[in-house]
Amino acid sequence: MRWFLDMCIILGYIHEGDNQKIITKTISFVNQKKDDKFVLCYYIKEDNLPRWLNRKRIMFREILRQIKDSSYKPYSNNECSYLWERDKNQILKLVSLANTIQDKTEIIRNFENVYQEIERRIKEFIEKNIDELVIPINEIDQKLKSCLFTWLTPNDSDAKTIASAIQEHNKKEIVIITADKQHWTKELLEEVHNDFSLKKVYAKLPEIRYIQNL
Amino acid sequence: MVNRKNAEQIQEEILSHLKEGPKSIKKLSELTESTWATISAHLDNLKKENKVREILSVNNLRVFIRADYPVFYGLPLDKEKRNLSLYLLAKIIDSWKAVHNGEIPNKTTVQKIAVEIAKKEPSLNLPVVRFHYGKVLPVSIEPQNASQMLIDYNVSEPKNSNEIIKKINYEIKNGNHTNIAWKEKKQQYEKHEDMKIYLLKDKIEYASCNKNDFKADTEKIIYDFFLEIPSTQRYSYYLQRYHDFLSAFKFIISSNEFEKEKKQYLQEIIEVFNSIWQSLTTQFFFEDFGGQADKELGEIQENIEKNTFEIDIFQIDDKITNLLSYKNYLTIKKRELSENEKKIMGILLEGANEE
Repeated sequence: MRWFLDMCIILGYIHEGDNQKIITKTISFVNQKKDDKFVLCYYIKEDNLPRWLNRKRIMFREILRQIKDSSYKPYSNNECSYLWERDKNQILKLVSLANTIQDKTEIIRNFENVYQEIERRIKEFIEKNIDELVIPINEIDQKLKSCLFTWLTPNDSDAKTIASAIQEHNKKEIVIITADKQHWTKELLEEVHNDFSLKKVYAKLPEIRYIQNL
Repeated sequence: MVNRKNAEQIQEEILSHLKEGPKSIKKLSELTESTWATISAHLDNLKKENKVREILSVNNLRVFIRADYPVFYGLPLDKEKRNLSLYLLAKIIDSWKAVHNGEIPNKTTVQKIAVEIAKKEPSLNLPVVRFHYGKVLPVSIEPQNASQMLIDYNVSEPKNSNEIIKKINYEIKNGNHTNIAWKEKKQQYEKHEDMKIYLLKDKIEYASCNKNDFKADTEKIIYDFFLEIPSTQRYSYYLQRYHDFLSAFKFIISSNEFEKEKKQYLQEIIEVFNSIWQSLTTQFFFEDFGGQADKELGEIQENIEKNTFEIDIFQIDDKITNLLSYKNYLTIKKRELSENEKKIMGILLEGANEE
């Protein structure tokens, strides 16, 4: 089987000490790979993962501003425009955790240790588990991507990743593996076939499986 | 009948107007009642003779200063403040020589004495700015040419000159000044509560010389330094780039390859740090220097600041990219995370299934 990995599989696998079902399932899925192949698109490796990592760094700088400068108005720095609502919720938790640590230098050390370890685990995951990198970013079909983006999901990252998956599937069969039941659906993929010209080019649509159901 | 000025007269006039600070060709044309082309040609001649410097050339705006103009970056500074600063620096040099049997003080010592006087006597309203080596007056004077400078710039004795001389003599006698540049700097950093970042910079510099124990000495100081970078929007670029630097630094010193080629890595790390430092302290300088009320002078200052910043970031970005590229081929061992670190990782990865 050729599995086309969503980014959440990598982030789920590198998780530390969390007993959520989804994490356990992800780790078990990866560890039982055996003769299967894992396929990753260039977009995730070269664009989406670095951007996710960068958001984490922006979050940390925001935390730092909030804890060291009482006159700082939260999220007033321009770079905060890159943060998502979810990031802001995480910042709230991290600020309260940081406030329990007296030595501010220790907070930086802790965060940098975590960041470095996340980077290391991602790199290790790709080196050890990814068998093929597919669809260079500049080869993503913009029409396919736009169709997905405009009509199916208001999420550029998902649109590019799914477009890569559909393109790859029409070259060589893959099965998409994800944890995102909300956005990555069979119905969503089928919408591509409502566009006649896209249906002609991408006659086959890949199967989606959810890590939770394995 | 129109009295036409000869070339010498026009050049004298230009040099005289430039004593007041940087001027555009347009402004000099108005002041000398000459055409833009005439002034431009004379300025080019004066430039060849090293009597003026062009400090800015943006679109149609060409700005010149006298080659001996004493304000840093050729910035416009209120005449009263500039002259008082020049007077103070020149008198510090004279007094030092008188007290120390003709010994000429170095520029750092002169500046540090001046800053202490400015701090103790706020009524003098002297401009003090932070720069690469701490707080200074934004005016430079060569100890050998100090008296001539006062003549050239028509600096007259202020009304309270006796009082100022007394303050200078008191500071020279009681301020523990050694005329050793690094000691003068360190003393200032320790005396002024708002200069912790300078002390940390010195520690990093010192640790970089102690190559055998660099890791242990430096990691905490590098983190402490991060905390001292201001949070305001003006410093956002530095907070981001320093964060990148910190990440690359940590990666390199934790790598399995670090010990083998320590010297080379250290050299690169320090080079990047110094580039950030130079630019950050330039930013301190411009912030402390403040703005200009006059529209044209405001535009000149804004452009000088912008140009300086653009050159700096080009160099810093380039160096940081090189340093970060080590992450692609150096290797690090798996890290056992502490309880707090596990909590941080847990929070950072929350919602990962929706990414």
